[in-house]
Amino acid sequence: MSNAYNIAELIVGVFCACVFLHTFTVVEMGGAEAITSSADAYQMAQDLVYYRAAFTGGLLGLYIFFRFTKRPVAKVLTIVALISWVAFIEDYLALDNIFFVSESLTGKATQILRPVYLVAIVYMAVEAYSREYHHG
Amino acid sequence: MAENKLSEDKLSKRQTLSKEELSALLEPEALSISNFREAISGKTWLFKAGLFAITLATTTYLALYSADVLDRFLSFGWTQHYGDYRLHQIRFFIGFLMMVVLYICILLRRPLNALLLSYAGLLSYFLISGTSRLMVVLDEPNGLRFVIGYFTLHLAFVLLLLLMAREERRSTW
Repeated sequence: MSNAYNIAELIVGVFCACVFLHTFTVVEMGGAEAITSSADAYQMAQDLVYYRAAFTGGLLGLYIFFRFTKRPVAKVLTIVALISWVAFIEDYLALDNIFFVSESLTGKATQILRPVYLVAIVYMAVEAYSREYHHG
Repeated sequence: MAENKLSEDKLSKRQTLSKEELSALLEPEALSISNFREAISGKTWLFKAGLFAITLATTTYLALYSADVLDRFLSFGWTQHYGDYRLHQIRFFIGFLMMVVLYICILLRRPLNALLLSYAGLLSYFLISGTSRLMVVLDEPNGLRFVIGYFTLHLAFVLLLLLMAREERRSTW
């Protein structure tokens, strides 16, 4: 396991922690209403934010399980990377980044870390593939 | 002695490839529709049936969306939110892209297992987020029936992809 892979893993871990912390902070602040300005955006955020966090969180939980039981992780990482990129495109093109428009520290941290996370998860998937399929 | 040396030289010469031979081997296979039959000849009949079903369903889905027939059934039709409309546009475009990439990989004879599993994962995300969105915007009791129909249709896509991923492992290439 290379150092770069471990660093990428750390970035993904920190990003996930930020997302969960931000989600709980938003719930404490009074739900999606607190992070959005328009009624339309509020409804969409309310519907999507929890499901998306649960889905990606579940897949990353699967990755942790595979990692500790020493099973191949390349496919799980590919799925997580693909969903993360599609969710990112949806946020910026369709939802006007409504989830993380927040004055809170966790919201800002999540927004800053997101591009780094997207690069890190793709790197991890590529690295895992070359390790598991090309080098035995 | 000299004869042995000569035959050894011939052997060693035979083991090295000429530049032309090497470039011919390294040259990627031409991508054309004509070799599609050959490209899927190594697949199981269940894989072929799955590919036919998913192509037909996706093409019909995309054609209906392009003809604006689906608008009133999608969440945009119920909410009239611009965000919903953009979300549909992006997801249908991704669906079209997925189909194109799948066929390119088949023609290039690339391993499809990881690709099909990734598609199944992405469609599951669309299924969960789409169903949760519909459950909020639709009215009872007609809405529930519609949501069940929507869920079943999309679940069929996911199951079809998982079936194809399983059959891909059994295929010759």
